[in-house]
Amino acid sequence: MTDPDRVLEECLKLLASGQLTIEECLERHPRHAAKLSRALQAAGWLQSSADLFMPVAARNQVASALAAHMATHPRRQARTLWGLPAYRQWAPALAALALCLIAGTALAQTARPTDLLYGWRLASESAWLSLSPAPEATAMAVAERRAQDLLWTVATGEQTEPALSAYQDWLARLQSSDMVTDRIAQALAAHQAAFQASGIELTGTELDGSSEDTLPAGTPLPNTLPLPSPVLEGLDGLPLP
Amino acid sequence: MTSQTQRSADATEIDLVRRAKAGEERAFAAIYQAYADRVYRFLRYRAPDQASAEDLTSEVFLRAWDKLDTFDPQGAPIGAWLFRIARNLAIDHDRLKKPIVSLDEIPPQDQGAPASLEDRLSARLEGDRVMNLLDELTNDQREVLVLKFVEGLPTAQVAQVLGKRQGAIRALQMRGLQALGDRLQAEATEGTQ
Repeated sequence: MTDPDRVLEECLKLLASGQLTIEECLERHPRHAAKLSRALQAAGWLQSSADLFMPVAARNQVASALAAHMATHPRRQARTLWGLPAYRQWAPALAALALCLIAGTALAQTARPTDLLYGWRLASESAWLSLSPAPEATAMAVAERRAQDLLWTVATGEQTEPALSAYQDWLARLQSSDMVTDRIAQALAAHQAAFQASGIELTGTELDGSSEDTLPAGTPLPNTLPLPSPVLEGLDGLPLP
Repeated sequence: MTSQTQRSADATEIDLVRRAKAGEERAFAAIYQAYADRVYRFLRYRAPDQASAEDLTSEVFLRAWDKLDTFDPQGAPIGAWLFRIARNLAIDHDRLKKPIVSLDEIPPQDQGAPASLEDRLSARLEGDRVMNLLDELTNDQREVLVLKFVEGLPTAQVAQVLGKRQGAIRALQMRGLQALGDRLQAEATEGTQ
């Protein structure tokens, strides 16, 4: 060790713990002996001479002032665990939760009707419509996605029930919130054309909408798809395939 | 102090801090009792006179009570935090030369026993020579020496209080002790002449 500042620090530690005397320290570090000698003696003198206490009257006066201050400025009771403010305790968990929600929602957007995250996707679409500044466009986009899901199940021979149910629910929601505008009605008519092209026929009877027509999961695709009757009212005047 | 006793003292202190943070006045009063002399001593070697040191000591504890939420017990002991407040107040006091609220202006509630003449004389005699010699050092050197050799803080905590690196503290310590050693030697030489 050559740095005199470090040598002094080491000697002070050893002196304080009684492992070394000043003389031994100087013998160990002859190069720095002159500097060390003065410094160590000064340190020893300071330690033994500088004891100074607050005058009793001042001490009591400050204690009284402090008591008065604490009485007029009470601290809020702890709302925390482990001495941490509540926001610090929960912030990491909340951030992790928010991250999971964002990541899960993003991942769910590609979910197919047979995927585990399909339900998450449907919920996010529902929330999307509620929050959207352009509800008509959102309603059409979601209807389109769900129609594509249904067509995909038909094309791949997968279970149709989840996609069918999702499409029906969406139509019902649009109708109940009185959102079936002309543009949406046109889009729905286009869906029906696509369904028919895929071998799905929508007949007048089913279109009347008695909804005993929910398909049990895994059943073969029927040749007609039931739609809620109010939706059909919105399609008045449009050519049905 | 053995390491076991030290650990026990630390645990007691942590408990006091926790209770004080929760609003328990008695716990903070216990912290005041434990640190009043140390904070006062640090300020006495830093402030221009005894009255300023007393007023600043009062200010340190009032401010500590108000700001206790910002103290993180994981970061440093409460003592280091109090010294840091004391130092900041002393710097502000130097800079602004603004009189802070004097203890004389606070209505006394329970003043306790008045300071005896013996108390005052003893404190003055003990401190005057050290103060005169420390006065000749720079502020930084004086703060390092007082925190390290009067208050017994380890170098790492001195660095925390002063907001400097440990290497800088060691250098200030060496220069301060050298200068103090020179003054002591000069004093001794004058004494023998």
